[in-house]
Formats: sequence, structure tokens, C-alpha cells
Amino acid sequence: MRHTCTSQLPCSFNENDLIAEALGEASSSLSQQVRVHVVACHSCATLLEQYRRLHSHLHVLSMPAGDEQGLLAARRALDARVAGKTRPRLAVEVWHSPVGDIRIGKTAKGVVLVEFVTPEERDSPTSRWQTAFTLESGGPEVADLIHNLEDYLTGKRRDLGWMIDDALMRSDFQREVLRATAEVPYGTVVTYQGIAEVIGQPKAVRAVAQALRYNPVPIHIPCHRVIGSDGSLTGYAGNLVGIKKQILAVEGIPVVETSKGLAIPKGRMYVGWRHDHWFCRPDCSTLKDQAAGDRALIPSRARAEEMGYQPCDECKPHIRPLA
Amino acid sequence: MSAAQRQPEVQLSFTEVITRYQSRVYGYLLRFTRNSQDAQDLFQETFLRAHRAYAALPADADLQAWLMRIAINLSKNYLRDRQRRAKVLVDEEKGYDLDGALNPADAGRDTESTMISRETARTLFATIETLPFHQRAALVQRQFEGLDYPTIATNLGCSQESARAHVYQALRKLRLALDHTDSEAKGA
Repeated sequence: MRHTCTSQLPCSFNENDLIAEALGEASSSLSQQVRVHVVACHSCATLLEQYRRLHSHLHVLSMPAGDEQGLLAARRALDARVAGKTRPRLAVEVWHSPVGDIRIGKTAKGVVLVEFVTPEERDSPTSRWQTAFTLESGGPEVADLIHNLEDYLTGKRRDLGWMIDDALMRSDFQREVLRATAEVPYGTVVTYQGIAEVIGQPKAVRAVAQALRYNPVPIHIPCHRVIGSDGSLTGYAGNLVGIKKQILAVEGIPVVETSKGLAIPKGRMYVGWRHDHWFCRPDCSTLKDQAAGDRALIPSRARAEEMGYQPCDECKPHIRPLA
Repeated sequence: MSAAQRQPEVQLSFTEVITRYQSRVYGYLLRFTRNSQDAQDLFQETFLRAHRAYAALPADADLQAWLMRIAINLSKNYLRDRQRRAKVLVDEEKGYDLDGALNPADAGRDTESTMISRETARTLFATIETLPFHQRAALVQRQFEGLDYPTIATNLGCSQESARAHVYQALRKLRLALDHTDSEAKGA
């Protein structure tokens, strides 16, 4: 934008410098330069004067509008409209799970919240979701959810199969990301780049990572199955990376300690083609053409075959399995 | 995911959020629209949208920047709707609200430095009406609200350099408009 219009004046002085001086935004050295220049250059002196006058005109026009009445009226109308909105009930309970305390919340529509909590947060939730609901304690429905989670964490159950209330999802973009993440199969991992490609926004890798960071229903929506392109377990920030590792272990996915922190050993994983249901050794020559959105890392041949994936003809992982 | 890294803090009820930021939001909307009724409508819309999204907002979010972004986005739509309407109702849109409470260039401030002719004010406002959204929003925030470039950049979701460039572009157009009016006046 800036470059399409010339800032050079006939005297080769920069008009923006005059504006900066008129607004009082120029550094002392620039200010000095401008003042020296306008002594000699009549047209710049006129321009500077015009900008000074414009600045002072705008200052006058910006005097406080003093519309207290308008604000009060708007506030009254707003309060009435906000008060008309009822707060749905939320049944909520903290479960002392093997991977740490987990808060689970359910509305009439479905599970709205799964949250890893620290001991301090256990009794007094600090996040904003509580402002949107009328809270009540768990009851049998939440007890069922806890049983489901327990079965999942002990490997007895692969799919939680819950109804979800998306009230705490932040945007349509986030819903898209979470929908794509929900389709990553049990016991496999994909990358943030892969998810970005699946939703048709290959450049939005960081936004995808942000969307997953604020996943309101982790475990059910398996953001733990999404990792960095280099294999690192980013995303579950801070001490939550440890939880991500534990959950991946439940699904049979190995995690190793590297110099850059916890990571998936990519070289020891098979590579699945999600569209065509093949799987390859990680050194297969066909992989150079694979899009990140089509890629899933699979820890074992047994897991790949269980998912109905066929071995690749080129690298023959069924004849030359990984060690 | 963020549970463990959230800083425990007292969470404001939404009513408290409105009370804390209402002047800031209303001030922007009023100066942007220069029309009390439109500002009131956009004000309500801003906080109703915020109300829907508040529960899902991360605890460490910058509330003021978040609310301002909603208000600014709504003012962008407003501008678009208004321009569309203006094509149909050219005559009705012509009357600027210069005589109402929003006209500061009124009696009692007749010292040399604060004198602005009605013609000048009219030209400036008319030109502001024609500015592209980003230039107008940046100009309003810088010149009318005295915000600094980092804040304007956050509110508009652009870099500080762009925020400054928007303001300077707007000022160039305003200066040209005044210059043009002056020479017309002299020529007449």
C-alpha cells in the first residue's frame, strides 16, 4: 500500500517526515532535519504548516463528545438483552485419574468440558467457562463419563462415543480443526501441518496448533494424536506434555526423550496413506510425493493391518518389517 | 489443554467486563460513526457477541484488545452497509450531524486556535467518510482517541508500521481535501 504512492516530494524530501513532525512523532534528530529543511524549502514549509493546522483541526474535532446519555441508554438496553439469556446447567465433577486430576462437565446437549487441573484449581476453577453456566455437581451421568474415561485409559475402550456440546469452542475455524482431528484414527499420529492441509488451509499451521491448544474436550477429540512435523510433542504446553506422553502410551505409540524434549521416533514408525489405506516403511521412495494431510504415522504392522491398510508394493513392509 | 498454565486470577463476571470497558468501546464507536444511535446499536452488538464468546475465551486473553477487535470488526461492517445504503439514499445521507451534541466546533470555544469553520469541519468529516476502513479506523484511534501505534496495531491486527502508514495516508487525503477546498474558495 505504502509503496504504491510516492512519498518523495519534488525537493526529494519525504512527506511522511513532515507528517511525523506535525504530529509530534518525529525523533529529535528527524525533527532537527525537518526544521533545517523547511527554512530553505518553501513548498515543504507550506506543507508542514498545512499538516500542523490539520492536526490541530482534528484535535478540536476530537473534543470529548460527552454522550453520557447515549452510553447509558445503550448500557440499559444491553443489560436487558443479556439478562434475557438464561445460563444452561452444567453438571461438573473432578476425577482423580491415573494421569492426574481431570474435570469433566456435561450439559443437556452433551460433554462440554474435559480439563486437566492442578490441585489449586481443583476446588476453585479459574477459567471463564463457569461464567456461562449454572453449575451443579456431577451425578450419575458424569459418573458414567468417568467410567468411560477409565476404560479408555486402561486400554479397554478405544472410542468414547460421547455426544459433544460445542459451546466452549471458540470459532468456526476451531470447530473445523477439531472435526479434522476427531478423524485421526486411534493409535496413529499426524502433524499440525497435516491437519492444516486437511482443512484446506495449509499455511495456517500455527493457528491449527492454537486451536488444538484450546481444545475444550481433549481425549475425546484426540489432540494428543497431533504432533510437530519433526515428531516433537508440542502443543500440550508445559507439564501437560507428560500427560500427552501417557495418553499416547495407552494407544501404543512410543515416545522417546530427545535433546529437544519428548518426541515420536519417526524413523521407527510405519507411514500410512490415509486416503488409499496403504502403509510404507519410513524410507520408502513413494513417500516423497505424499502430502502431509494424507500422512499418518503407525507404530506397528499389526496396528496398520488391523486398520485395514495394505502393505506398499514398493517397500514391502510385510516382507521387510521394521526392527 | 491450557488448564495447567493458566494463571489463577479472579474471573470477572460479564457484567463487570461491560462496566470496565464500556467507555472505551463506546468512545471508539461514537467517534467512528459520529452518530449516537448507530454507536448505541454497535455497542450492544459488540457486547452481545462478546457475551456469546466470553466463556470460551482463554483466561489469559487481553480483554480490552479482544473487545476492541469485535467493535472494530462491527464498525467495518457498518461502513460497508452504510456505503451500500448511501448509494440508494444519497440525499438522506448528506446531512452530517454537525449541529447535534457531536459538534464540538460550537460557541464558547472561539479562540483563534480552536476556531474551525463549518466548511472545514464539513470537508474533514466528508473526507473521513470516504476513507477505506483501515485508514479511517486508524485515524479515529490515533487522532481522536490518542492511542499509541502498538495499541492500534493490536486492535487492527496489523503491524505498527502499517498502523502508522494508515494514519499518514488518511492525513495526506485530508490535507489534499482541505487544500482543494481552499483553492476553490479562492477561485470563486
